[in-house]
Amino acid sequence: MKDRDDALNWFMLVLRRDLTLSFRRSATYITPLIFFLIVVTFFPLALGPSQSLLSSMASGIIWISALLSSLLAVEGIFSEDYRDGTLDQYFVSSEPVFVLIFAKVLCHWLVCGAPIILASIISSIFLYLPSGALIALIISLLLGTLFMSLLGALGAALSLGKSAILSAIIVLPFSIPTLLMGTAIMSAAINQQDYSGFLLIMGAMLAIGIPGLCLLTVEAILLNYE
Amino acid sequence: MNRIWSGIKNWLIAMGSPPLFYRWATSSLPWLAGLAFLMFSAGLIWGIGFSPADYKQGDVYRIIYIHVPSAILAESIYLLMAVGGFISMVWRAKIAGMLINSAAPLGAGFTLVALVTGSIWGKPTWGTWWVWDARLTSTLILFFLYAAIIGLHSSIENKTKADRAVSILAVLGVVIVPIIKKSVDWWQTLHQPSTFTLTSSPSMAPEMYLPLLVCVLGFYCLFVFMLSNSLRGEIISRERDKAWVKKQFFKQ
Amino acid sequence: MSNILKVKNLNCQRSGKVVLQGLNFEVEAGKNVEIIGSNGSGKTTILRLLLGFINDYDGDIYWNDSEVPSKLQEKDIHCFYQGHQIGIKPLLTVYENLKFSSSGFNSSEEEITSVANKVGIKTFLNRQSASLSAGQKRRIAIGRWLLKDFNLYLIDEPFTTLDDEGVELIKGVVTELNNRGASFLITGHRPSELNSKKIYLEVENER
Repeated sequence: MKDRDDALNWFMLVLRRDLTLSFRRSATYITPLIFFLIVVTFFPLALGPSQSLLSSMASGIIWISALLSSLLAVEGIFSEDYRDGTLDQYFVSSEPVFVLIFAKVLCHWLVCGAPIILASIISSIFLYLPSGALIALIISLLLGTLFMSLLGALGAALSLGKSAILSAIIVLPFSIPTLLMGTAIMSAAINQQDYSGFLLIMGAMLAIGIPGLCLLTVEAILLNYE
Repeated sequence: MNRIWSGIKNWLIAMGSPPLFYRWATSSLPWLAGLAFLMFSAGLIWGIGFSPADYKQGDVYRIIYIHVPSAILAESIYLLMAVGGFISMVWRAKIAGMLINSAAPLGAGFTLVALVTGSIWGKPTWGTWWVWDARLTSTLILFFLYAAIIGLHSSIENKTKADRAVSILAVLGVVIVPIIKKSVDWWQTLHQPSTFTLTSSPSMAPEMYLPLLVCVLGFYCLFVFMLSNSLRGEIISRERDKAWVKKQFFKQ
Repeated sequence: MSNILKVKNLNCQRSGKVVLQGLNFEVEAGKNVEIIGSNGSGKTTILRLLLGFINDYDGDIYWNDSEVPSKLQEKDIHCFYQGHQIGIKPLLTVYENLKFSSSGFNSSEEEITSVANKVGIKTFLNRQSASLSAGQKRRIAIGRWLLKDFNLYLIDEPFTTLDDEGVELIKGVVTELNNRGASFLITGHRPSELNSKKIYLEVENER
């Protein structure tokens, strides 16, 4: 029996297990997509179908829907593992737990990020997003949804076992910088300006956020064990 | 110098023990109340009653004497909670955790006062009850952060665990709050090239900012009084099974 | 005989109630210890305390015959933990539940198949675990004990939901692992037929 008991090995274990589980349950990746599209649909229903109005609001609406879908999708990230004892094993593993938490978040982002991106592409048609902004939309959403998954995981850990709406009010204020960055990228793209500076900032937020938020998430999970 | 420093350190460590803090709070409370009342009313009466009217805004600007101290306090209290959260996480001091729980409603209250007075100020000045300027928007977001802390704390039955949960939130918040403020400021300039702010007057005559200073100090004193009072109650309620509490109440 | 674990004068309080008081015991390498008590007597607390989930206690824990009390994480001990909830994912097949575990991840397909055979679930290898009975799921959990070499097994109530055959299986597996030098520290409601030193916990205090 081999004995490669290092962090990378454990990382792959968690990642592969969660990926396998996510794809077994199609609800995991279908529901964020459908929710996104429903929310987007409500805007023309509420505001009227005028093309110019929707076009001017498109990037904002898509970003808000992406944030909300992302948040709701990540809400249950720890509940199953917590209930069936799998989460305990992370702490017994003698590897840094935040690495394993990141494995879970990464898996979630890979599985739910793609449907959200797909939904946003569809929404760009529904809302008459100005041309030329689509690439910017996809790139900014890729970064933004990863950040949301990290934040959402922390919210899920803090409110483990409690309602989703509590998790939402905890996480949403912290996602404001992401929202502002994302929509700024969109405006720049629509006006054909260079937005690479914003991407750099989002990248920096992620670089700090990945270790920082995962560490805080571990603290939050440990609270439930005392 | 060293003696003063170690003296302060020892006092802080002593304050970390619930029974000692309780005793200190009980004895200091009348003084704190008196000081708070004095500074608070002095500042307000001076500012609202006696300082000269602003040539641009007339008498309505006097609300600044409530609005600005409230806003300053709203932010300071959040900082205090973050420090308390950090202490609670690193040194596991119980009082630090209880501090967050007591300070949060006070902070939320001051934020609300800042928002409402800001709104009242805006109506005669700008014609609307609300305006999305950088300052008010950041204050509103700060209010949501307070709400999150209060909501999270109330949802967890085990209060020690609740303290630690909100510590995490407070520490995260204090890191993100400057980022939020910077990004809201910048968002403002993006959408409104002519930045207007409701709150800053670049040059204020001494007759105006001296009473403002007194008001700010008065608000701080008021906060310290209310916090000590609230913490006192919190300590008794949490530690009610401990021997020192029983001794305290059967003694009287 | 060397002690893989020694506990001295352990006291622990949870939510203001005394759960453990003055607990002393040793686990020798290759031998087993059983902690027996009713619900709430502190059995699970002991295991979680040893693993580092609970830090609020008095007393000393010595690992691997060391002179100095230490935490599990500081020592080079391979420890396997199975709690009340055994972590069998219903959506994964039996094979996947074995493979995607801390002990099975680096095992080859042959090794996993042979272990499954040993615990009597080889026929279900590619079936979704949701369709298995509780006893069969327990066998998957037992399979995990065998996939890798551990020094110490901390198992919380291993005999729940097992029939006589399952109990015999555990006895066999434990004996085999004892011969390889591993020790078991298990908990339960009643003393089992295992070859072990029994420690009884009472709800108010224990010896």
